[in-house]
Amino acid sequence: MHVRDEANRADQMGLTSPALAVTLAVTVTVLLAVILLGWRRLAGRGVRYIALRITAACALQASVLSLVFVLVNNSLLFYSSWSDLVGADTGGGTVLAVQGVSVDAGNRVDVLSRSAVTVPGVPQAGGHLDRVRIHGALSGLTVPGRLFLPAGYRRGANGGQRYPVIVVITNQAANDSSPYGARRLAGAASAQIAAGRLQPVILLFVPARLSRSDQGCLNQPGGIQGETFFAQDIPRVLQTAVDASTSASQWALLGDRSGGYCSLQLALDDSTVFSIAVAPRASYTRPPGAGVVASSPQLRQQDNLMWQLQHLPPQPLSVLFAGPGTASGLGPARGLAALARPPMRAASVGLGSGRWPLAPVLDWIGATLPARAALAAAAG
Amino acid sequence: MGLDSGLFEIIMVVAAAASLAVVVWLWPKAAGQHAAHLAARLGLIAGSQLLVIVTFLICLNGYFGFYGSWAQLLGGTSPSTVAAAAARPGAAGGPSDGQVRSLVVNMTEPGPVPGGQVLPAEAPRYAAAGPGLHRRRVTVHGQPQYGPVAGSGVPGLSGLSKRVSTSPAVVGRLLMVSMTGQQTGITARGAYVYLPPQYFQRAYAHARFPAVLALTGYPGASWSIVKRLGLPSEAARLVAAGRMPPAIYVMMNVSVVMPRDTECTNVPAGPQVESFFAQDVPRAIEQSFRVQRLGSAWGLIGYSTGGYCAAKLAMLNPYQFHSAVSLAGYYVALRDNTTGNLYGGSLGYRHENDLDWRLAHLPAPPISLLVTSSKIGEKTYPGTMAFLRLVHSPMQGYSLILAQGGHNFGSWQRELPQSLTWLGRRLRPAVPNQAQVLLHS
Repeated sequence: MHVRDEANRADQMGLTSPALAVTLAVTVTVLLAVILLGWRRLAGRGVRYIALRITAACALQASVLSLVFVLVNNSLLFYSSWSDLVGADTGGGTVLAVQGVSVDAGNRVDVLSRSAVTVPGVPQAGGHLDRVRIHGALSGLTVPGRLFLPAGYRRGANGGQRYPVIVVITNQAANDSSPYGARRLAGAASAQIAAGRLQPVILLFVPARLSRSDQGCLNQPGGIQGETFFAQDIPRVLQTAVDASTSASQWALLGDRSGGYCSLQLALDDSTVFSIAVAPRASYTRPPGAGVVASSPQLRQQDNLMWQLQHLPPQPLSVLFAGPGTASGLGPARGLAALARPPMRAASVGLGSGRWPLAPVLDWIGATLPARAALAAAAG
Repeated sequence: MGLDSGLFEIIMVVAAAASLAVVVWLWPKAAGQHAAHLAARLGLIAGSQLLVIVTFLICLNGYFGFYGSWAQLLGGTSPSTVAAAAARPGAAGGPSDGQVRSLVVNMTEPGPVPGGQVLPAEAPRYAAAGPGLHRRRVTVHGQPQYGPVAGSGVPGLSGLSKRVSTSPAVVGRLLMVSMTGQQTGITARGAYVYLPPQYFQRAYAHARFPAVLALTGYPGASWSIVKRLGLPSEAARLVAAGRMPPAIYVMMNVSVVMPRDTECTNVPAGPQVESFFAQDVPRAIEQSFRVQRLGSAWGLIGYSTGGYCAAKLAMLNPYQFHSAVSLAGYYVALRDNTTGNLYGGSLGYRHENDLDWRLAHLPAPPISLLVTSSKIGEKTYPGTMAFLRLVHSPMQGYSLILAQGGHNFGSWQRELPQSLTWLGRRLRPAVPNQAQVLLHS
């Protein structure tokens, strides 16, 4: 390598070479010794002696400063060579593409099957519920889910208006007897939409458990990137595959059990993405599946909702504690709710007892989502 | 007295010169044979030497802008993790959506004139400035190349200083701002926002502009990006030459909790610096300026530690930051005396902050990244080449390698025009005369 050889030759007394630092150190020592020993010879009166003293003092200062500069430069490497120091290096380089092929990022929703949502006794209700598989480009996760699109949803219709989204985090999506079952909750949403109590929304059901161990929807250090999936992949997937809103004010999280914990955690961590969280009344004093990050006390602390609410600023969130059971009041969530300071708001509601236990929750979400007129104005 | 204030530097230089004079003056008095005389000689030399070295280091610090204040150098007033004092409800001037306005403009200056000097030449540096709005007259050499020159002297008198318009529609505006993160509670003072002239022109009155976040190295000061790197002036020059679209530049110190070097990491149970840059800063800027909305592909550029941060922030938040330039950055997760324990003692979490590890173990993010280094003179060169070999689709890697150049502003200035042109091609340009209704996306 011709260039390399040249540089090596130049480096024999290069700016960053040990030889230069050693030479300067020797110079400083010799000058110091000479000055101290020859002090008396320069102590005479007259301009000549004063000039000699000035010269001696300045020479010493200059050599010491040079040594300091060279040492500082060696440790921090501001200037790599003499030409660099005096600004003689010129000329740019060329921008080269290393990886020139652009492919689709891999965010995708595969629809496996589709069924209509019908609500007996409510003829206007409708929409459909798809069994889907979601591919998250950033997390690399592929997760089974259900996607509810409301009655009248058509891609790009509605004057470009985008729909609010409720991400339902539950392991019960396939369980028709659970209030969080996809069919039941989609039915409830459909009925509330038909009744004008909820604006048309998109529901996405995803499991709280993305891997064998439940990591509470967080990024498992060096492992499953749960938070990346929920907070980055899901919004992107729904914004590209269906007409999901791009505004945090229109994104809600709703979960049961560990999914409830997920909802609160994700909303607190990513208030630029989500602004509404619904979780069961529970105490939330420790994360589910805490074993995942047990190795690091700091990570465990960070993942604790109580700690987070006490130590980080309050987020612009609306939080609802809902059920289980029909009783109202905060119950065991009292401790957590007490830590919520504005702009975070906390409320509670009991579940309904009829066919749609989560109807009161949907009504509350409907009241919390910004009105469509307000959104249109804000967009303009 | 501020560590970086000009007055302090002058006082130190005077003191150092005086100490030399004292040595020369007292020289004969220490010329005896006694041990006391020898001690006096040593004392004179050492005292003077110390003053000169300290002065030199202070001037060096002033030039490179490592530490902006005594507090930054020594610690003490660095904000605790628990900076919950941040977003208070009902703060004055809060926007109607209930969110708290988290950006305060401390000062306004005319922007740099394309083709002119880096202006404003004498703008006060970071910590020295108090609140309030100041305007200064600006004098430049040479002919401005862009925009109408209103109120200027006789054109064509090259070589003579003359006044040019400082109207925002001609030179843009350079604002010094403070930002408080709603998500993290971190407060960054002395950040700079450059608004291009177009921002103030009628044709762009309703246009939203692309944004670029620029980060210093560690330790550093945001003012260095304006003055030493000359980012706003280079951008203004390239825009005037039609080589890149006008954009808003947000220029920040990479270390928001000085003197700690956080490497833009969400430190477990500590400062959430990644979230601050990836969520809080875009949100604060979006609330305050006509910038393209959250998640709309901002650009990133940074040098040294700021280069690592630019690459990391884009790789971790590819929908917020679509393209990034890492000038002489590195790509591994550092741990040293200035960082402390950034990863909560978790190897897995440290891996997640190691960009080499991420490319080898996680899906590549859909971003474009330009990395720069020098074949000779840069310690970062081997690491940069190793990182580039790991880049794969959908991530797109680009390199800009100088034949020779050190880890300093001189090299980065040489890389800047091409880097900005590259970045400019990846920004969504602001559209003039845009009807409001088209803005909705």
